[in-house]
Amino acid sequence: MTAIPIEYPLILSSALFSLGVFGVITQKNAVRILIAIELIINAANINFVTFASYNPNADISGWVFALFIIAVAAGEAAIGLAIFINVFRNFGEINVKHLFTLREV
Amino acid sequence: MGWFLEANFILIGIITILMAFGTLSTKKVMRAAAFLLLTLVGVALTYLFLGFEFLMGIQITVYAGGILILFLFSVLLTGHEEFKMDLEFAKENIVQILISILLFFTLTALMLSIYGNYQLTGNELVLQAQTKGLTQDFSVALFSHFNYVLPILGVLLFSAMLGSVKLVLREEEL
Repeated sequence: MTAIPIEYPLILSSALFSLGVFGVITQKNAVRILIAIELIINAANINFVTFASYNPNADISGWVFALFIIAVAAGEAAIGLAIFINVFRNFGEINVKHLFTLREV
Repeated sequence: MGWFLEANFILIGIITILMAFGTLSTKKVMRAAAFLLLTLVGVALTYLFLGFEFLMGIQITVYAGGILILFLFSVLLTGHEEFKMDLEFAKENIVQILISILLFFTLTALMLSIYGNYQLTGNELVLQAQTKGLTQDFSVALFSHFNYVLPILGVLLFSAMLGSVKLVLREEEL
């Protein structure tokens, strides 16, 4: 059934991971950094699904992990965005280059 | 049929990578969220090619439907300046660009050297699915062997929900 070689999804996931890391280390807007983190999480998920799908022992646990990671990513995005909305209320901007402290001004 | 599947996978992979790059390089954050939607749909199609159509549904409903709305609202609720990925940006971030390219080649070389010679006997799970039904297998595993996953996720998401509500509400509103 699966005629797709295992290399293709692995290359796709490493490309997404590198782009995510590039975003995290270059972007200044906090929301953009969270978006880049979502790319990294998706790259990890592709790897989980790939190795579960190509496992000769027909093990389903990689897919359960992928489901788990999607839910954890949802929680992470909710908490992160709530923090950044709070930061925007207190500081008036969410540029991470200008945020050196989390205490109240 | 094999080459057709392969060509489609390559096409969708290239589009996904381009959309991911658009997410990082576009001028406005709102457009970045729109590009993120297309990236997530591309990843969902990848899951379909890998034989897991149930996770494709989850990806589209939870990610593209839920998390992306969260991003859109947070973009609307916070201010943002425009961002330009031009020659000046490349000069400022030359080290970061080199690190990312190096990371990509290292990861690819590492994974291909380990798993490239992995002799595939065929996608066992998908082969089973043709006779038994894959989503059924997954659901049975989720409620028998992995029955602790859903309660843990419930506790995790409930605490995340309470935490984000507590963070966003102000003291006088409580």
